[in-house]
Amino acid sequence: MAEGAIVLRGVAKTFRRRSEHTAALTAIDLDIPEGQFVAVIGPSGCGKSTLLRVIAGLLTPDAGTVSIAGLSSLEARRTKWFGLVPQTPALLPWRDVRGNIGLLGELNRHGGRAPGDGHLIPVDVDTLIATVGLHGFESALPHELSGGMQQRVALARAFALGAPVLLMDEPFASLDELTREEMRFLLLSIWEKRPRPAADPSTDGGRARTVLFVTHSLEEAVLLADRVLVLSARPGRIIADLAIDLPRPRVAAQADTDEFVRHTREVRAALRLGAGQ
Amino acid sequence: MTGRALRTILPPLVAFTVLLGAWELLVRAFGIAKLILPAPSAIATAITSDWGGWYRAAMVTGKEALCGFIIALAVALVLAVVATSTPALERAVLPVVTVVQLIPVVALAPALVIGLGFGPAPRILVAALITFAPLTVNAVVGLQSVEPDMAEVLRSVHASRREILLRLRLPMALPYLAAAARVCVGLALIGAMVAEWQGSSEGLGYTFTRAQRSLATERMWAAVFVLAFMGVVGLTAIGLLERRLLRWRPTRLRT
Repeated sequence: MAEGAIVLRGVAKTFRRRSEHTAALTAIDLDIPEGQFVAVIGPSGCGKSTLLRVIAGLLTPDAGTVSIAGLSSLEARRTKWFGLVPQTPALLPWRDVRGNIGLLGELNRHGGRAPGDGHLIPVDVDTLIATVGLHGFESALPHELSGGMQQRVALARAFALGAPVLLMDEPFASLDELTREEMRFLLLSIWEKRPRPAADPSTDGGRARTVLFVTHSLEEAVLLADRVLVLSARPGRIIADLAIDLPRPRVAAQADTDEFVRHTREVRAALRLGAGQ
Repeated sequence: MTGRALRTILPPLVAFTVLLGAWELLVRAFGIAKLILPAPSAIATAITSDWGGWYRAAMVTGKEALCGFIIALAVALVLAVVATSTPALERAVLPVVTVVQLIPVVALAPALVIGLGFGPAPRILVAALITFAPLTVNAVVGLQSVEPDMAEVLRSVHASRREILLRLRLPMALPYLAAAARVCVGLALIGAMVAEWQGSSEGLGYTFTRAQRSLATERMWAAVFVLAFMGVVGLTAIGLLERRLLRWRPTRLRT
């Protein structure tokens, strides 16, 4: 593929509220190849979420360009290129599990592309419900589910469209430690099922799913990602771009290996630098 | 009747019986004159001796109140959607709503009769004006009660403004509208009845003023009781609607 899955050039974003100007992002250059799992980490308020929203076109950058597989953010949204998982599950309380997972398919009906047109094949909702472990809860309403189960629904909703790019904004931050760990491996298992760039291009339209995962947890970043981007304190710049070459599929036991520890140490050092310590 | 329904109905039933019983006893024991305070039994007789008349009067006032409420609801929804579309419009609309809320609408009724004639129009307008402000304010708050994350998920697939309004914002506003409707049942009925005091020839308000002229206090009280009963019917209807439409709310949030 000639164009990267996500390409940013000189992206900057400043928030203006009355006379107050807050520079959130500055001079962001980024190339994410198709199929890569990228974690973004940085101190609080460094613009991690802003970066994700600029890529999704939910915020317009003040400078620079964003290209999603050669498309603008707007075109990418129009063709349902993104699967967004926000910090809260953000489920519609009047829709049951199945209804929430199917929601995005019902919206913007004319905008989506056919599977052969660059999309992954939309996943069958029932298969997806089983994959995220919600079999038997198809008709449950959100308030009847635990926080972890709600976040499973949010994850399934993002995967349901077969979107080539997943944008995740600290999706597991509000969960308890055990549930969080469970969710990390659930995410990896769904993502790793997708063909990597080297795999047979005849499956799933030949595309691999690219993930941009915002987090404030070092361990989470190293455990999940192929690559960790470290942002500096505001205004956010990319101050480190670290490859994580741990073998896949990732397992919980890897967290105890010297390799893992070395990577977390590396990321921690970059974070300290970025926070100005 | 199931045990649960009985447990719901029995306590208020006992409370009302005790209250009315005490009232009846008080009037009889102290020989209170009918002109000062008629006994509940006298009020009841006033109602039961003319079921048809009360029913017709109640339907007139009820229709006015309902029409006024429906008009107010429609205007409130349109206005709230407009007001929440941009901050500038919100700043324009909300002060107007607040001023309307402060107008003593009931006092305006005689002026409206001059302008709109002796038909039901001025009464419907009073019922609409009196319920319009709470409905609009709650609709605005409800439409804005959407979590930003929810809106972003919808926008991430380029959902249109219309889709976001119909699929997300209006359903989110429903509980707020239901709460406003509960307040408005009483307001609309009171507005319609009081507006009937002037220049009308039918309805509970007319019955009330006619009874006043002949010093028939038990009929005046009867009119008030019939109006209160209509309020109970209205609240029950809203409760049933809520149970159907707001099934998705956690039970502890239901009223």
